[in-house]
Amino acid sequence: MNPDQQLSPLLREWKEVPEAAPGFRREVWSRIEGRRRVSRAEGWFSLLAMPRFAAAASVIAVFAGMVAGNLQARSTGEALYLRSVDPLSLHAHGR
Amino acid sequence: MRKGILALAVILLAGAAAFFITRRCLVPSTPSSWLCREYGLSPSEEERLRDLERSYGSRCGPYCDAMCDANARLETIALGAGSITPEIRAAVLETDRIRTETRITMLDHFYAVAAQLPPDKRRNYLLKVLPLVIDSCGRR
Repeated sequence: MNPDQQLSPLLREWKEVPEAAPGFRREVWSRIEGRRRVSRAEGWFSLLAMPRFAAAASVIAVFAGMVAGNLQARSTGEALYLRSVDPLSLHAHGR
Repeated sequence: MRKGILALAVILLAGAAAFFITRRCLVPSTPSSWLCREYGLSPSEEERLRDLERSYGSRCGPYCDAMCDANARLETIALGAGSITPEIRAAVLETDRIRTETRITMLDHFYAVAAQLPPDKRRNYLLKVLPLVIDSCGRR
């Protein structure tokens, strides 16, 4: 008799089903979700570890940085100009 | 995973470096250089703008001093009085007179600058600077 053949009659005899602890189902699902989140993050990082994706992401980051820097420089320049032509605000701020 | 985190750090660093370098290179050194870059003016037009700025500075400077003097006088009188006196009334009117003169000088300068800009950009310039002189509380 192999172990599977021994197990089947035992399982048939087994009547007592233990009560699940309170919150058992919630606990199981939260652990499943936690694992899923971790594997998703790992997926992103493993994608970035591929040179082609890393290069593409770098190009996008540099481009976004340049656009943001340009916008920031323009708004700083505008504020500088407006302050320079406004004697009333110079006066209001105690010169 | 570690390689990915390292790649992310390098990418973020590259983005931040691009931001700071671009900003540093493009922030105008003088207020008029922003105006020239924003409205695409030639070096000769830029020189004319500088002349206008010098003339504006020499006309506006005295108003700043006069405004400070008038406000100081008003403050002294107001501190010594317990109610509105004819003297306070006159001092308030004097500060308003100087303010009005300053606003007219500013408006005159803005029109002079706008005249140096390409016709299709004048309105855009006036929309930026007019709020310094006219506060319509967004009701225009």
